[in-house]
Amino acid sequence: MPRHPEEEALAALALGDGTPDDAVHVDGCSTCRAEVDAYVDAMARAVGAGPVTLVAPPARVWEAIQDELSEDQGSPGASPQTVSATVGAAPTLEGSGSGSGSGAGAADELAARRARRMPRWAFAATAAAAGVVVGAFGVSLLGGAEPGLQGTVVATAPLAALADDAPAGTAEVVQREDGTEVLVIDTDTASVTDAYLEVWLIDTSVEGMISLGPLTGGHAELEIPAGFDVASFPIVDISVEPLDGVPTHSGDSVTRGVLGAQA
Amino acid sequence: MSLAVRLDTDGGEPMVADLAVDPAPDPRELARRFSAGDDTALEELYRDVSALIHTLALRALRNAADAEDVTQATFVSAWRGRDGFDPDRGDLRGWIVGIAKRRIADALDARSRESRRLAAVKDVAEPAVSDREADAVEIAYDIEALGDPRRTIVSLAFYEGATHQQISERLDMPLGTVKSHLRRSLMTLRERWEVNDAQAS
Repeated sequence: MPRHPEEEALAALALGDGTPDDAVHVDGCSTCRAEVDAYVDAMARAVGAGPVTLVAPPARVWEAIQDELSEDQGSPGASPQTVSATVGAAPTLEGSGSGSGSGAGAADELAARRARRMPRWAFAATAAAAGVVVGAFGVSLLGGAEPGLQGTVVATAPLAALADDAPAGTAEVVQREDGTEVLVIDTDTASVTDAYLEVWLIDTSVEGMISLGPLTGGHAELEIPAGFDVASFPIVDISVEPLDGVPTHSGDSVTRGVLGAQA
Repeated sequence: MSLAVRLDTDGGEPMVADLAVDPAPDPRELARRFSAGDDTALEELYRDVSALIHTLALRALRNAADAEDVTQATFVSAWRGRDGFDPDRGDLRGWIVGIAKRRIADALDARSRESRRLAAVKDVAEPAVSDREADAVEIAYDIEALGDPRRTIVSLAFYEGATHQQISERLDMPLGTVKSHLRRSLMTLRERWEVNDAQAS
């Protein structure tokens, strides 16, 4: 039996591009036939998977990783540029009313919002996360492995569905010992498909508003940016936001309540 | 940006391609530096596999914000848990993909727990990343990692059904060169997947 063809010649056979001599050899050689079969399998695997679009994460994800790890010793710290960029985005938060969020300001707001968001499951996932400071507002995580909120309820709002005015849970502003405030939502607002729910605080003229982030379940604890006066933005609003990447309010509110001072 | 679409972009390279165009760092060298706590290794790893991980998360969670959270949590966990990675025993990419799959499972668990609290929620269909889907994403990554012109040639041959002659004409490349690139690509892919399968079993 002549010597085995080179690997590349066997790959060529799998691609339908081999020489007749090699094909004859492979017919009579189980070792080489297994090799060709392996190449055919690899090709079938690639073809069978179909073309898949790989989607790179936006730049803010790397920034958020750096921010989060900057709390650890001896790890990649947030560069000064990263921090100042996030801080620079802060002023756009208060001014962004419905429809005004276009261009760079809106993108910055979204980046700032995303950068300091922490996934709720991170509590269970990383016990070490307790007290980690995220983002430029000095926002800290609530609790550690056992999420629990310590503080004083300073305002409450019964929530109602806008469609039929039916009770839909409650919203509370809890002030923690360090003075920071958290909006705690407990609602039975139904989740939505092909869209998501987002929580907003809106002023009484329904012009100024701030997003506190998406609502991914019946219970949410959403940080209110430091220095933000809830009394001026007392309307708690839950909206249905299409998955279109537009950071402004969709105008499609489903649940609302008005915060009143806790007696 | 799909493989097929990228073929039409001669001028402005899309962001995905920018990431993928970076030559993949030598895996063993990168794994060693990562394990030793060299923080530039984390950035290189991120440039290499963040699109792979983000895509896995996107396809499993079908929510951009959640996918970003998972991607973030994966790299944070990987860096904090780098002591648990042995560069002599496993490959770094397989290891971090394993972390990503656990983070995705965590996210789905959290979602279903929250969903159960909502009495009003009906027929909560839990999306999950199937092994088949995860495979497809990793295969796409491996084809990307072939670099140009091989990834272009492979996607034309495998996904557009172009003949070798058609590829030669379309890319203005000698037929023999097209065939050679295809052979070498197939050899690379087979080797990569045999390594993966050996580690998975």
